[in-house]
Amino acid sequence: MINEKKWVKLWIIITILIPIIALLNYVIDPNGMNNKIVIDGINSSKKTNTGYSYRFKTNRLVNDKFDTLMLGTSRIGVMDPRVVNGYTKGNTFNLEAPASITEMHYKLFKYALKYNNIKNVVYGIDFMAFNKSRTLGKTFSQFNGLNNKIVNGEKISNYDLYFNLDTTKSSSYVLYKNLMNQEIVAEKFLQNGMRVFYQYIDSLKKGTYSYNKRMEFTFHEYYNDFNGIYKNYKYSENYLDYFSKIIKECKENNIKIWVYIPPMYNLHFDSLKSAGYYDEFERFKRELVKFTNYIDFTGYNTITNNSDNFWDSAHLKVKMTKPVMARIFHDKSVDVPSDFGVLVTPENIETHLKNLRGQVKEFDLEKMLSYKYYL
Amino acid sequence: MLFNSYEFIFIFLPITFLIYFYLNYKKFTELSKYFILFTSLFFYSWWNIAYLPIILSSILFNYTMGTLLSKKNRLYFKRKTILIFSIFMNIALLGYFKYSDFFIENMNLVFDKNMDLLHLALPLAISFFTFQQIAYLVSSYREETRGYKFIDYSVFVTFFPQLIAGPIVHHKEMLPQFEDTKNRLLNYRNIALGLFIFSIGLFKKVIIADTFSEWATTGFDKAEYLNFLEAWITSLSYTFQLYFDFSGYTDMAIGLALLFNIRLPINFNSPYKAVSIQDFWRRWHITLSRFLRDHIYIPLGGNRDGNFRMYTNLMITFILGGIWHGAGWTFVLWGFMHGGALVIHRVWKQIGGNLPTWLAWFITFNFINISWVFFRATEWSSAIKVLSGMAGVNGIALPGFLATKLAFLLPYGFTFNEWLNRLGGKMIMVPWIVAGFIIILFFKNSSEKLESFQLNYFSLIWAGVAFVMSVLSLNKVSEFLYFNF
Repeated sequence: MINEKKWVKLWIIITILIPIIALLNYVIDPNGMNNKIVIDGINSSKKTNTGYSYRFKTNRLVNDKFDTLMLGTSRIGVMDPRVVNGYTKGNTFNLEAPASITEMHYKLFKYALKYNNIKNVVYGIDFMAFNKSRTLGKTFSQFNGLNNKIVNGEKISNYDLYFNLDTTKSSSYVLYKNLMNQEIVAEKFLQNGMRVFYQYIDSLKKGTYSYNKRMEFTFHEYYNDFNGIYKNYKYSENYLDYFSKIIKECKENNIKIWVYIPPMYNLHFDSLKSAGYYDEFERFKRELVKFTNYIDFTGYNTITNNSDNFWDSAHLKVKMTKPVMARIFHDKSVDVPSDFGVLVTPENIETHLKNLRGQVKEFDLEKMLSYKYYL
Repeated sequence: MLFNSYEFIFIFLPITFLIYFYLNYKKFTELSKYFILFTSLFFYSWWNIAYLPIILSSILFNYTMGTLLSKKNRLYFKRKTILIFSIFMNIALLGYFKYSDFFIENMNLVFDKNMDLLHLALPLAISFFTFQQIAYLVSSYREETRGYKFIDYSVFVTFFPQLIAGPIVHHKEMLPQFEDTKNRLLNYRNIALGLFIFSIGLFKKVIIADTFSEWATTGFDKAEYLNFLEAWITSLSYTFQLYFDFSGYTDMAIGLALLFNIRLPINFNSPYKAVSIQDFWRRWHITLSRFLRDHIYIPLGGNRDGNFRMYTNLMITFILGGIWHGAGWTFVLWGFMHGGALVIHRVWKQIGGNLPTWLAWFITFNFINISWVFFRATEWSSAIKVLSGMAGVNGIALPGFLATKLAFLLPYGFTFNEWLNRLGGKMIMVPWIVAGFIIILFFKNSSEKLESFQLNYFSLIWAGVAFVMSVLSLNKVSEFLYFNF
């Protein structure tokens, strides 16, 4: 038995563990959210920060000064902002939001404008970003949790991440790995916002990377009937409004904007027809051109026919930033295959779509989806 | 402000506690009451200050009516008129905010009209403080109140631990405690008890309920269809979520009140151990059952006028209880199901029916679990989706690793792929469900723990670790389910 006063005092002493744990989490910073204290052998090798995409990116927008944005989904996320710097002569931030919808692009764009003097935007717009079946409330709970703060342009504090059991587990893991001198290999955002697939780079080096397995996996991500990115695809006029608002506000604020549809591996292009979404895919392109010209990299071309240029069915390797950006910025000094990227305007849209439709091949999507290797 | 938030735990609560006892220590007892009233209203206004005038008007109105009703020299019919008027006004206020849109929607449907909905935001806690004050009015009419001061009455209604989601307290059990001078002094035993029970409640809410909540939400709101196991995990997740969420909230309320030397009534007594529906309602949301019994069932005649009348009274009481929880036909059906189950139970008892305890528990638990599906579902289609899955309409999928061992089941419609895919595919759900059953069936409940509480290192470590773990999990702060009712 303990007396009553002592019990209460000891309980209070136990609760002092909370600020101590939070402080340790802040110092170890297992996900690289603050990078304030980095000590070799303690916390220099960290876990991924991509689990906190919106916090990380909004924090970077507040804490640094950028004049160029790369906007869109993870397809632009894997592109190197340093290549864009070469064209805009500025400081570029890759503001990708993974698998996102245009509503998120618009809100992040506005957030970026609040804290930065943005002069240029490179916008990689994807078909997936217009799927009405995917909403903030239903699909993007993490973004939704921060939605009010992002919309109101508030600074997003990370203090709750340090008062956190999951972070504590991550801190223990990071500390153990560093003390054991074992490197943590994980996907990460660099400080310029670029997404780097360190885990693929590592397995490529080790010879264990399987393009086919990655492709199977990504097809499941797009088409699975639980939360597939293309599941129940319905084109959203509302999401088109968000896209048009970005174009309009760029014009009003004298911000130069370059829009493109990112390349996808040719089988991914074919799969849209197999899934019955090709008409919607064309509609997506027809609607875009009503607001802006753009470069369309989809379809069969020298780059998209070569799986070696991709990590999976839709994400290019970083070395492909050069041809993509060279095509967008009309850089003749880079050798870009002539069939890679078509400038789409209201005048040529129908010819372009007709040409692409002629390229689509039959693809057995069901067979691809039957490889449930990851289960 | 939520009990499970940093601002409440680290700022509001310590400041309120310290100033309240400092004022009492300095003998500013009246001032300490005004202080607790102010902090309770501040706590309430934290969500939306627009609700403040509503609760203040309600308190002022009901206090005035209660005072009029307690005047002994008034004529009987005048007092009855005042009672009817004041109860009507309370119901009208609740009805306006809670049921207007439901009423309009149904009018539109029946008369094929297109009247606009009002889209009124439901003032927080209105269902709770309305019931609490109706009980006070009835007591005043029965001359059971005795000239309470306005400040005491206001503190009774707004006392922050029980303001938002109960327990639905009675003036008889609360006001004497506020008046007791002994309760104005620091009491370390009560503080220890309060911290212990608050820590358990926080753990139940943050660690257990919020974990089940994720799977329940996915199953009910996101998945397009559910296979057999997914549907059962969805419904059980909600059954556990609701209990741990609401009883966790109640534990926190009881613990917080104890810090201020106030004992709130218990609200849960291991309800999922119930072996009949009547037993369940003696264990679940006890203060609501008490209110419904005293203010609806008994005034309707209770069991005094024969069986048929008793069955009718039970049905009316439970249908109204269903509607109290929310404006929707799914709540009406839920109330109807429980009323019906109670009638069947009474008939069964009258004919001398008896079942083995395990079978009685099994039937009761499954009935409750299935009825929660209607309670949780935001629309009919969602309820039907979960129930069809539970009935096996969408097939039975088992884990892939059993494919070779149980291959003989294949001709019977079993599959071995995507067994929990639509819930996020997390294997961890299964041990959590098992753990949920173990806790609800074999662990002592909070009020039992409170009774058997001992000041030793075991209770200290248990409460300390539960509190630390819970605070370190507050990043997924979510509101309590009963805030919606």
